[in-house]
Amino acid sequence: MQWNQDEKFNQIVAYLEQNGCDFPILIPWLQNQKEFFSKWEDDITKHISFLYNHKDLYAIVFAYEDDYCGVVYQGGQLFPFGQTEENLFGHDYIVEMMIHFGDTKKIAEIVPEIHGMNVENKMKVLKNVKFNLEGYHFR
Amino acid sequence: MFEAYEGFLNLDHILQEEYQYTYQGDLQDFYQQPFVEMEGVGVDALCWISYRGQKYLFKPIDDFSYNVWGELLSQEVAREMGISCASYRAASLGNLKGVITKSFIKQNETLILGGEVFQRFLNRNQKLTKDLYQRMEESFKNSEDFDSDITLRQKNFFRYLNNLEYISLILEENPNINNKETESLIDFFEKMLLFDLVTMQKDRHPDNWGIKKSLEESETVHYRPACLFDHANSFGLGMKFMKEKVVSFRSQYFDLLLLKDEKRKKELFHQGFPAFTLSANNTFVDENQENISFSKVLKDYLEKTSEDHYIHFINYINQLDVNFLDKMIKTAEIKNGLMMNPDVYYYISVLFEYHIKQLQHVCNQVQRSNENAVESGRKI
Repeated sequence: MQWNQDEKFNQIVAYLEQNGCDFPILIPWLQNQKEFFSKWEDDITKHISFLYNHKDLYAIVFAYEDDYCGVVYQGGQLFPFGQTEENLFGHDYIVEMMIHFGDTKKIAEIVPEIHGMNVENKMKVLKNVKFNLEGYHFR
Repeated sequence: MFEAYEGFLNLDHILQEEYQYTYQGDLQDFYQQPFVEMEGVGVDALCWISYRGQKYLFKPIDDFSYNVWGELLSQEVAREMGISCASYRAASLGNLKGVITKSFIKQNETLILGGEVFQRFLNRNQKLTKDLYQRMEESFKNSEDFDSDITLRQKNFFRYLNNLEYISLILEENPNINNKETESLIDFFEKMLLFDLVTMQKDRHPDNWGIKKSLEESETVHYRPACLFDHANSFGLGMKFMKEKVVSFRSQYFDLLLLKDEKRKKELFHQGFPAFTLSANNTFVDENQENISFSKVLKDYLEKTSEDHYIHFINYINQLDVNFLDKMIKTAEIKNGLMMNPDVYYYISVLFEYHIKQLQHVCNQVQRSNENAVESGRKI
Protein backbone atom coordinates (compact mmCIF):
# COMPACT_ATOMS: atom_id res chain seq x y z
CA MET A 1 0.00 0.00 0.00
CA GLN A 2 1.17 3.52 -0.78
CA TRP A 3 2.26 5.40 2.31
CA ASN A 4 -0.04 8.32 1.47
CA GLN A 5 -3.00 5.94 1.58
CA ASP A 6 -1.96 4.61 4.95
CA GLU A 7 -4.27 5.27 7.90
CA LYS A 8 -1.49 6.82 9.96
CA PHE A 9 -0.60 9.21 7.16
CA ASN A 10 -4.23 10.31 6.93
CA GLN A 11 -4.41 10.74 10.70
CA ILE A 12 -1.32 12.98 10.62
CA VAL A 13 -2.71 15.08 7.77
CA ALA A 14 -6.08 15.37 9.53
CA TYR A 15 -4.43 16.38 12.82
CA LEU A 16 -2.34 19.03 11.07
CA GLU A 17 -5.43 20.35 9.30
CA GLN A 18 -7.34 20.51 12.58
CA ASN A 19 -4.52 22.71 13.86
CA GLY A 20 -4.63 25.10 10.95
CA CYS A 21 -1.76 23.52 8.99
CA ASP A 22 -3.57 22.64 5.79
CA PHE A 23 -0.78 23.68 3.43
CA PRO A 24 -0.86 21.56 0.24
CA ILE A 25 2.91 22.02 0.05
CA LEU A 26 3.22 19.97 3.25
CA ILE A 27 1.88 16.74 1.70
CA PRO A 28 4.90 15.89 -0.49
CA TRP A 29 7.21 16.52 2.47
CA LEU A 30 5.12 14.24 4.71
CA GLN A 31 5.17 11.57 2.02
CA ASN A 32 8.95 11.56 2.22
CA GLN A 33 8.95 10.97 5.97
CA LYS A 34 7.50 7.46 5.84
CA GLU A 35 10.48 5.90 7.55
CA PHE A 36 10.36 8.38 10.44
CA PHE A 37 6.59 8.23 10.94
CA SER A 38 6.42 4.45 10.64
CA LYS A 39 8.17 4.19 14.02
CA TRP A 40 5.16 5.78 15.71
CA GLU A 41 3.12 2.99 17.16
CA ASP A 42 0.45 4.76 19.14
CA ASP A 43 -1.34 8.08 19.44
CA ILE A 44 0.13 10.36 16.76
CA THR A 45 -0.77 13.58 18.56
CA LYS A 46 1.87 13.07 21.24
CA HIS A 47 4.59 13.22 18.56
CA ILE A 48 3.49 16.50 16.98
CA SER A 49 4.06 20.01 18.37
CA PHE A 50 3.40 23.42 16.95
CA LEU A 51 5.87 26.20 17.74
CA TYR A 52 4.31 29.64 17.75
CA ASN A 53 5.65 33.16 18.08
CA HIS A 54 2.66 34.94 19.64
CA LYS A 55 -0.13 34.21 17.14
CA ASP A 56 2.11 33.24 14.22
CA LEU A 57 2.88 29.60 13.53
CA TYR A 58 6.67 29.33 13.37
CA ALA A 59 7.28 25.59 12.90
CA ILE A 60 5.79 22.11 13.11
CA VAL A 61 8.00 19.72 15.05
CA PHE A 62 7.71 15.91 14.84
CA ALA A 63 9.48 13.98 17.58
CA TYR A 64 10.07 10.32 18.24
CA GLU A 65 12.17 9.39 21.25
CA ASP A 66 15.39 11.38 20.70
CA ASP A 67 14.85 12.02 16.98
CA TYR A 68 13.06 15.04 15.66
CA CYS A 69 12.46 16.80 12.39
CA GLY A 70 9.99 19.32 11.06
CA VAL A 71 9.32 22.28 8.88
CA VAL A 72 9.23 26.05 9.11
CA TYR A 73 6.49 27.54 6.95
CA GLN A 74 7.61 30.87 5.55
CA GLY A 75 6.28 32.90 2.67
CA GLY A 76 4.45 29.97 1.08
CA GLN A 77 7.52 27.73 1.25
CA LEU A 78 8.60 24.96 3.59
CA PHE A 79 12.04 24.85 5.14
CA PRO A 80 12.72 21.42 6.62
CA PHE A 81 15.02 20.86 9.58
CA GLY A 82 16.16 17.91 11.65
CA GLN A 83 18.67 17.27 14.37
CA THR A 84 20.64 14.84 12.26
CA GLU A 85 21.25 17.47 9.58
CA GLU A 86 24.84 18.64 9.56
CA ASN A 87 24.49 21.61 7.25
CA LEU A 88 23.41 25.12 8.08
CA PHE A 89 20.14 24.83 6.15
CA GLY A 90 18.85 21.79 7.99
CA HIS A 91 19.13 23.38 11.38
CA ASP A 92 16.67 25.92 12.76
CA TYR A 93 17.96 28.37 15.36
CA ILE A 94 14.58 29.09 17.01
CA VAL A 95 13.50 25.44 17.13
CA GLU A 96 16.85 24.47 18.66
CA MET A 97 16.57 27.27 21.22
CA MET A 98 13.09 26.17 22.27
CA ILE A 99 13.85 22.45 22.41
CA HIS A 100 16.96 23.16 24.46
CA PHE A 101 14.84 25.24 26.82
CA GLY A 102 13.97 21.79 28.16
CA ASP A 103 17.58 21.51 29.37
CA THR A 104 17.64 24.77 31.31
CA LYS A 105 17.81 25.13 35.06
CA LYS A 106 14.72 27.34 34.95
CA ILE A 107 12.40 24.59 33.69
CA ALA A 108 14.05 21.98 35.91
CA GLU A 109 12.99 23.99 38.96
CA ILE A 110 9.37 23.43 38.02
CA VAL A 111 9.59 20.03 36.36
CA PRO A 112 12.68 18.41 37.96
CA GLU A 113 12.13 15.14 36.11
CA ILE A 114 12.59 16.85 32.71
CA HIS A 115 16.35 16.33 32.88
CA GLY A 116 17.10 12.95 31.43
CA MET A 117 13.91 12.85 29.33
CA ASN A 118 14.18 12.19 25.63
CA VAL A 119 13.20 14.91 23.17
CA GLU A 120 9.73 13.46 22.59
CA ASN A 121 8.90 13.57 26.30
CA LYS A 122 10.53 16.97 26.74
CA MET A 123 8.27 18.31 24.00
CA LYS A 124 5.25 16.85 25.76
CA VAL A 125 6.24 18.69 28.95
CA LEU A 126 6.94 21.93 27.09
CA LYS A 127 3.52 21.77 25.39
CA ASN A 128 1.94 21.78 28.83
CA VAL A 129 4.08 24.53 30.33
CA LYS A 130 2.20 27.79 30.73
CA PHE A 131 4.44 29.91 28.51
CA ASN A 132 3.97 33.60 27.84
CA LEU A 133 1.67 33.37 24.82
CA GLU A 134 2.97 36.65 23.41
CA GLY A 135 6.39 35.07 22.78
CA TYR A 136 7.67 31.71 21.54
CA HIS A 137 5.70 28.77 22.89
CA PHE A 138 4.70 25.23 22.00
CA ARG A 139 1.13 24.07 21.45
CA MET B 1 4.55 51.13 35.53
CA PHE B 2 3.07 50.33 38.96
CA GLU B 3 2.47 54.06 39.40
CA ALA B 4 0.63 53.46 42.68
CA TYR B 5 3.85 52.18 44.21
CA GLU B 6 6.87 54.40 44.64
CA GLY B 7 10.51 53.35 44.80
CA PHE B 8 11.56 49.74 45.18
CA LEU B 9 8.73 47.35 44.25
CA ASN B 10 7.85 44.63 46.70
CA LEU B 11 6.04 42.13 44.48
CA ASP B 12 4.97 39.99 47.47
CA HIS B 13 3.08 42.99 48.80
CA ILE B 14 1.54 43.76 45.36
CA LEU B 15 0.49 40.13 44.76
CA GLN B 16 -0.99 39.96 48.23
CA GLU B 17 -3.03 43.13 47.64
CA GLU B 18 -4.14 42.20 44.14
CA TYR B 19 -4.59 38.43 44.33
CA GLN B 20 -4.38 37.64 48.06
CA TYR B 21 -1.51 35.37 47.10
CA THR B 22 1.51 34.76 49.31
CA TYR B 23 4.64 33.62 47.56
CA GLN B 24 6.47 31.18 49.81
CA GLY B 25 9.47 30.42 47.64
CA ASP B 26 7.81 27.44 45.96
CA LEU B 27 8.19 28.01 42.21
CA GLN B 28 6.08 24.97 41.33
CA ASP B 29 3.18 26.44 43.25
CA PHE B 30 3.89 29.92 41.88
CA TYR B 31 3.69 28.80 38.24
CA GLN B 32 0.30 27.20 38.95
CA GLN B 33 -1.15 30.64 39.63
CA PRO B 34 -3.43 32.00 36.89
CA PHE B 35 -1.58 35.32 36.81
CA VAL B 36 1.86 33.77 36.21
CA GLU B 37 3.43 32.62 32.91
CA MET B 38 6.89 31.40 31.98
CA GLU B 39 9.26 33.15 29.57
CA GLY B 40 10.70 30.79 26.95
CA VAL B 41 13.69 32.87 25.87
CA GLY B 42 16.75 33.42 27.99
CA VAL B 43 17.81 31.72 31.15
CA ASP B 44 17.50 34.64 33.57
CA ALA B 45 13.96 35.96 33.10
CA LEU B 46 11.86 34.13 35.66
CA CYS B 47 8.21 34.82 34.88
CA TRP B 48 5.52 37.09 33.50
CA ILE B 49 3.04 38.46 36.01
CA SER B 50 -0.34 39.79 34.89
CA TYR B 51 -1.47 42.87 36.75
CA ARG B 52 -4.47 45.03 35.89
CA GLY B 53 -4.54 44.15 32.18
CA GLN B 54 -0.79 44.41 31.65
CA LYS B 55 2.00 41.86 31.72
CA TYR B 56 5.29 42.34 33.53
CA LEU B 57 8.47 40.29 33.26
CA PHE B 58 10.38 39.68 36.48
CA LYS B 59 14.08 38.92 36.15
CA PRO B 60 16.10 38.06 39.28
CA ILE B 61 19.66 39.38 39.32
CA ASP B 62 22.65 37.71 40.97
CA ASP B 63 24.65 40.02 43.26
CA PHE B 64 21.68 42.39 43.05
CA SER B 65 23.15 45.46 44.74
CA TYR B 66 25.97 45.41 42.17
CA ASN B 67 24.43 44.14 38.94
CA VAL B 68 21.07 45.92 39.09
CA TRP B 69 22.71 49.18 38.03
CA GLY B 70 23.45 47.98 34.49
CA GLU B 71 19.75 47.82 33.68
CA LEU B 72 18.75 50.95 35.64
CA LEU B 73 21.52 53.22 34.33
CA SER B 74 21.18 52.04 30.72
CA GLN B 75 17.52 52.95 30.83
CA GLU B 76 18.38 56.48 31.97
CA VAL B 77 21.08 56.88 29.29
CA ALA B 78 18.65 55.66 26.61
CA ARG B 79 16.14 58.27 27.74
CA GLU B 80 18.85 60.94 27.66
CA MET B 81 19.92 59.86 24.15
CA GLY B 82 16.30 59.81 22.94
CA ILE B 83 16.24 56.07 22.18
CA SER B 84 13.17 54.02 23.00
CA CYS B 85 13.94 51.55 25.80
CA ALA B 86 11.89 49.13 27.92
CA SER B 87 11.09 50.53 31.40
CA TYR B 88 12.67 48.76 34.34
CA ARG B 89 12.03 49.01 38.06
CA ALA B 90 13.98 47.31 40.82
CA ALA B 91 11.77 44.73 42.53
CA SER B 92 11.78 41.74 44.83
CA LEU B 93 9.82 38.50 44.99
CA GLY B 94 10.41 36.46 48.13
CA ASN B 95 14.15 36.40 48.62
CA LEU B 96 14.79 37.09 44.92
CA LYS B 97 15.82 40.61 43.97
CA GLY B 98 15.89 41.85 40.40
CA VAL B 99 14.08 44.04 37.91
CA ILE B 100 10.58 44.07 36.51
CA THR B 101 9.64 45.38 33.09
CA LYS B 102 6.35 45.97 31.32
CA SER B 103 5.64 44.06 28.10
CA PHE B 104 6.05 46.31 25.07
CA ILE B 105 4.15 43.94 22.77
CA LYS B 106 0.51 44.76 22.03
CA GLN B 107 -2.10 42.16 21.07
CA ASN B 108 -1.69 42.89 17.34
CA GLU B 109 2.12 42.77 17.50
CA THR B 110 4.74 40.04 17.41
CA LEU B 111 8.32 40.49 18.54
CA ILE B 112 10.68 38.95 15.99
CA LEU B 113 14.02 38.49 17.69
CA GLY B 114 17.28 39.00 15.79
CA GLY B 115 17.81 35.21 15.78
CA GLU B 116 14.54 34.76 13.90
CA VAL B 117 15.43 37.60 11.51
CA PHE B 118 18.69 35.79 10.68
CA GLN B 119 17.04 32.36 10.44
CA ARG B 120 14.38 33.63 8.04
CA PHE B 121 17.07 35.34 5.97
CA LEU B 122 19.02 32.08 5.87
CA ASN B 123 15.89 30.18 4.72
CA ARG B 124 15.03 32.75 2.07
CA ASN B 125 18.50 33.32 0.69
CA GLN B 126 20.50 30.15 0.69
CA LYS B 127 22.91 31.27 -2.01
CA LEU B 128 23.76 34.58 -0.36
CA THR B 129 24.00 32.79 2.99
CA LYS B 130 26.51 30.33 1.54
CA ASP B 131 28.60 33.24 0.21
CA LEU B 132 28.53 35.01 3.57
CA TYR B 133 29.33 31.82 5.45
CA GLN B 134 32.28 31.20 3.16
CA ARG B 135 33.44 34.78 3.69
CA MET B 136 33.29 34.23 7.44
CA GLU B 137 35.30 31.01 7.21
CA GLU B 138 37.94 32.66 5.01
CA SER B 139 38.27 35.72 7.22
CA PHE B 140 38.47 33.86 10.49
CA LYS B 141 39.87 30.48 9.55
CA ASN B 142 42.41 30.65 12.36
CA SER B 143 39.93 31.79 14.95
CA GLU B 144 39.36 29.59 17.95
CA ASP B 145 35.72 30.62 17.93
CA PHE B 146 34.78 27.97 15.40
CA ASP B 147 33.58 24.56 16.27
CA SER B 148 32.65 21.50 14.29
CA ASP B 149 29.29 21.21 16.08
CA ILE B 150 26.54 22.51 13.81
CA THR B 151 24.63 24.33 16.58
CA LEU B 152 27.75 26.26 17.57
CA ARG B 153 28.68 26.89 13.95
CA GLN B 154 25.25 28.38 13.37
CA LYS B 155 25.50 30.50 16.50
CA ASN B 156 28.87 31.80 15.32
CA PHE B 157 27.45 32.55 11.92
CA PHE B 158 24.62 34.56 13.47
CA ARG B 159 27.22 36.32 15.60
CA TYR B 160 29.05 37.13 12.36
CA LEU B 161 25.83 38.62 10.93
CA ASN B 162 25.15 40.62 14.10
CA ASN B 163 26.31 43.99 12.85
CA LEU B 164 24.83 47.09 11.25
CA GLU B 165 26.31 46.34 7.83
CA TYR B 166 24.74 42.89 7.46
CA ILE B 167 21.49 43.78 9.18
CA SER B 168 21.08 46.59 6.64
CA LEU B 169 21.70 44.09 3.84
CA ILE B 170 19.24 41.59 5.33
CA LEU B 171 16.51 44.20 5.76
CA GLU B 172 17.01 45.65 2.31
CA GLU B 173 16.55 42.29 0.62
CA ASN B 174 13.44 41.39 2.69
CA PRO B 175 10.44 41.68 0.34
CA ASN B 176 7.99 42.11 3.25
CA ILE B 177 9.63 45.25 4.63
CA ASN B 178 9.15 48.43 2.60
CA ASN B 179 11.87 51.02 1.97
CA LYS B 180 10.57 53.49 4.54
CA GLU B 181 10.42 50.81 7.24
CA THR B 182 13.90 49.59 6.32
CA GLU B 183 15.23 53.12 6.62
CA SER B 184 13.64 53.60 10.02
CA LEU B 185 14.90 50.20 11.27
CA ILE B 186 18.47 50.88 10.11
CA ASP B 187 18.35 54.32 11.72
CA PHE B 188 17.26 52.71 15.00
CA PHE B 189 19.97 50.04 14.87
CA GLU B 190 22.56 52.74 14.23
CA LYS B 191 21.39 54.50 17.40
CA MET B 192 21.50 51.16 19.22
CA LEU B 193 25.12 50.69 18.15
CA LEU B 194 26.07 54.13 19.53
CA PHE B 195 24.08 53.54 22.71
CA ASP B 196 25.96 50.26 23.21
CA LEU B 197 29.29 52.05 22.74
CA VAL B 198 28.44 54.66 25.37
CA THR B 199 27.07 52.18 27.92
CA MET B 200 29.77 49.49 27.37
CA GLN B 201 27.05 47.03 26.41
CA LYS B 202 28.58 43.68 25.56
CA ASP B 203 25.57 41.39 25.43
CA ARG B 204 23.67 42.60 22.36
CA HIS B 205 23.49 39.11 20.83
CA PRO B 206 20.77 38.34 18.26
CA ASP B 207 18.20 37.54 20.95
CA ASN B 208 18.71 40.90 22.64
CA TRP B 209 17.28 43.05 19.88
CA GLY B 210 14.23 42.68 17.70
CA ILE B 211 11.70 43.97 15.24
CA LYS B 212 7.99 44.43 15.95
CA LYS B 213 5.63 43.08 13.33
CA SER B 214 2.18 44.60 13.65
CA LEU B 215 -1.04 43.63 11.95
CA GLU B 216 -3.14 46.75 11.48
CA GLU B 217 -6.95 46.88 11.29
CA SER B 218 -6.65 47.30 7.53
CA GLU B 219 -4.97 43.84 7.49
CA THR B 220 -1.69 45.44 6.41
CA VAL B 221 1.51 44.37 8.14
CA HIS B 222 4.10 46.86 9.37
CA TYR B 223 7.60 46.40 10.72
CA ARG B 224 9.02 48.74 13.33
CA PRO B 225 12.00 48.62 15.69
CA ALA B 226 11.29 47.07 19.08
CA CYS B 227 12.50 49.22 21.94
CA LEU B 228 15.87 48.36 23.51
CA PHE B 229 15.85 45.75 26.23
CA ASP B 230 18.13 43.63 28.43
CA HIS B 231 21.09 45.71 29.56
CA ALA B 232 22.33 43.83 32.59
CA ASN B 233 25.78 43.50 31.00
CA SER B 234 26.65 47.16 30.69
CA PHE B 235 28.76 49.65 32.67
CA GLY B 236 31.20 46.84 33.42
CA LEU B 237 28.52 44.91 35.31
CA GLY B 238 26.71 41.62 34.86
CA MET B 239 29.73 39.36 35.21
CA LYS B 240 30.19 36.38 37.47
CA PHE B 241 31.68 37.13 40.91
CA MET B 242 30.74 40.79 40.44
CA LYS B 243 30.83 41.54 44.14
CA GLU B 244 34.41 40.28 44.46
CA LYS B 245 35.46 42.12 41.30
CA VAL B 246 33.97 45.42 42.45
CA VAL B 247 35.32 45.17 45.98
CA SER B 248 38.89 44.42 44.87
CA PHE B 249 38.85 47.00 42.06
CA ARG B 250 39.78 50.00 44.20
CA SER B 251 42.90 48.46 45.71
CA GLN B 252 44.02 47.01 42.39
CA TYR B 253 43.57 50.38 40.74
CA PHE B 254 45.58 52.19 43.45
CA ASP B 255 48.41 49.67 43.07
CA LEU B 256 48.50 50.27 39.34
CA LEU B 257 48.51 54.04 39.81
CA LEU B 258 51.51 53.73 42.06
CA LEU B 259 53.25 51.36 39.68
CA LYS B 260 52.27 53.43 36.65
CA ASP B 261 51.70 50.17 34.83
CA GLU B 262 49.64 51.12 31.77
CA LYS B 263 49.46 47.59 30.38
CA ARG B 264 47.98 46.16 33.57
CA LYS B 265 45.70 49.15 33.88
CA LYS B 266 44.36 48.40 30.41
CA GLU B 267 43.79 44.80 31.45
CA LEU B 268 42.00 45.83 34.63
CA PHE B 269 39.76 48.17 32.66
CA HIS B 270 39.12 45.72 29.85
CA GLN B 271 35.39 45.22 29.63
CA GLY B 272 35.04 42.54 27.01
CA PHE B 273 33.81 43.11 23.53
CA PRO B 274 30.75 44.67 21.98
CA ALA B 275 28.46 41.91 20.66
CA PHE B 276 26.75 44.15 18.11
CA THR B 277 29.21 45.92 15.86
CA LEU B 278 29.43 48.06 12.78
CA SER B 279 30.74 45.45 10.38
CA ALA B 280 31.66 41.78 10.24
CA ASN B 281 35.32 42.77 10.49
CA ASN B 282 34.74 43.53 14.16
CA THR B 283 33.17 40.17 14.92
CA PHE B 284 35.85 37.78 16.07
CA VAL B 285 38.92 38.36 18.16
CA ASP B 286 42.35 38.20 16.55
CA GLU B 287 45.45 37.13 18.47
CA ASN B 288 45.96 40.69 19.75
CA GLN B 289 42.30 40.93 20.78
CA GLU B 290 42.19 44.23 18.96
CA ASN B 291 39.69 43.94 16.17
CA ILE B 292 36.63 44.08 18.34
CA SER B 293 37.11 46.75 21.00
CA PHE B 294 34.58 49.53 21.61
CA SER B 295 37.18 52.05 20.37
CA LYS B 296 37.75 50.15 17.13
CA VAL B 297 34.02 49.96 16.44
CA LEU B 298 33.69 53.71 17.09
CA LYS B 299 36.64 54.49 14.81
CA ASP B 300 35.08 52.44 12.01
CA TYR B 301 31.76 54.16 12.56
CA LEU B 302 33.20 57.68 12.47
CA GLU B 303 35.16 56.89 9.34
CA LYS B 304 32.16 55.48 7.50
CA THR B 305 29.17 57.49 8.66
CA SER B 306 27.69 60.61 7.08
CA GLU B 307 29.07 64.01 8.10
CA ASP B 308 26.03 65.12 10.09
CA HIS B 309 25.93 61.84 12.08
CA TYR B 310 29.69 62.14 12.61
CA ILE B 311 29.47 65.70 13.94
CA HIS B 312 26.44 64.90 16.08
CA PHE B 313 28.05 61.90 17.76
CA ILE B 314 31.44 63.56 18.30
CA ASN B 315 29.68 66.49 19.98
CA TYR B 316 27.65 64.08 22.09
CA ILE B 317 30.66 62.06 23.21
CA ASN B 318 32.67 65.18 24.02
CA GLN B 319 30.11 66.43 26.51
CA LEU B 320 30.01 63.15 28.46
CA ASP B 321 31.81 63.00 31.79
CA VAL B 322 31.39 61.75 35.34
CA ASN B 323 28.86 64.51 36.07
CA PHE B 324 26.63 63.02 33.39
CA LEU B 325 26.94 59.62 35.06
CA ASP B 326 26.22 61.13 38.48
CA LYS B 327 23.01 62.62 37.11
CA MET B 328 21.93 59.22 35.73
CA ILE B 329 22.74 57.51 39.04
CA LYS B 330 20.81 60.09 41.05
CA THR B 331 17.72 59.68 38.83
CA ALA B 332 17.87 55.88 39.00
CA GLU B 333 18.34 56.00 42.79
CA ILE B 334 15.29 58.22 43.31
CA LYS B 335 13.04 56.23 40.96
CA ASN B 336 13.95 52.90 42.49
CA GLY B 337 14.37 53.80 46.14
CA LEU B 338 17.93 52.48 46.12
CA MET B 339 21.32 53.87 47.10
CA MET B 340 24.32 52.81 45.08
CA ASN B 341 26.93 51.35 47.39
CA PRO B 342 30.24 53.29 47.45
CA ASP B 343 32.28 50.40 46.01
CA VAL B 344 29.95 50.13 43.01
CA TYR B 345 29.99 53.91 42.58
CA TYR B 346 33.77 53.97 42.61
CA TYR B 347 34.00 51.05 40.15
CA ILE B 348 31.44 52.41 37.68
CA SER B 349 32.60 56.01 37.76
CA VAL B 350 36.32 55.20 37.30
CA LEU B 351 35.50 52.74 34.55
CA PHE B 352 33.05 55.07 32.80
CA GLU B 353 35.47 57.99 32.90
CA TYR B 354 38.25 55.83 31.46
CA HIS B 355 35.92 54.43 28.79
CA ILE B 356 34.62 57.84 27.73
CA LYS B 357 38.15 59.21 27.56
CA GLN B 358 39.06 56.34 25.25
CA LEU B 359 36.08 57.15 23.03
CA GLN B 360 36.92 60.87 23.11
CA HIS B 361 40.50 60.02 22.15
CA VAL B 362 39.21 58.10 19.11
CA CYS B 363 36.97 61.05 18.19
CA ASN B 364 39.93 63.44 18.37
CA GLN B 365 42.12 61.11 16.31
CA VAL B 366 39.52 60.78 13.56
CA GLN B 367 38.80 64.51 13.65
CA ARG B 368 42.53 65.34 13.33
CA SER B 369 43.00 62.92 10.48
CA ASN B 370 39.97 64.42 8.69
CA GLU B 371 41.34 67.94 9.21
CA ASN B 372 44.72 66.84 7.84
CA ALA B 373 43.03 65.32 4.82
CA VAL B 374 41.17 68.58 4.18
CA GLU B 375 44.38 70.55 4.70
CA SER B 376 46.36 68.43 2.20
CA GLY B 377 43.44 68.67 -0.20
CA ARG B 378 43.70 72.47 0.00
CA LYS B 379 47.44 72.35 -0.60
CA ILE B 380 46.96 70.23 -3.69
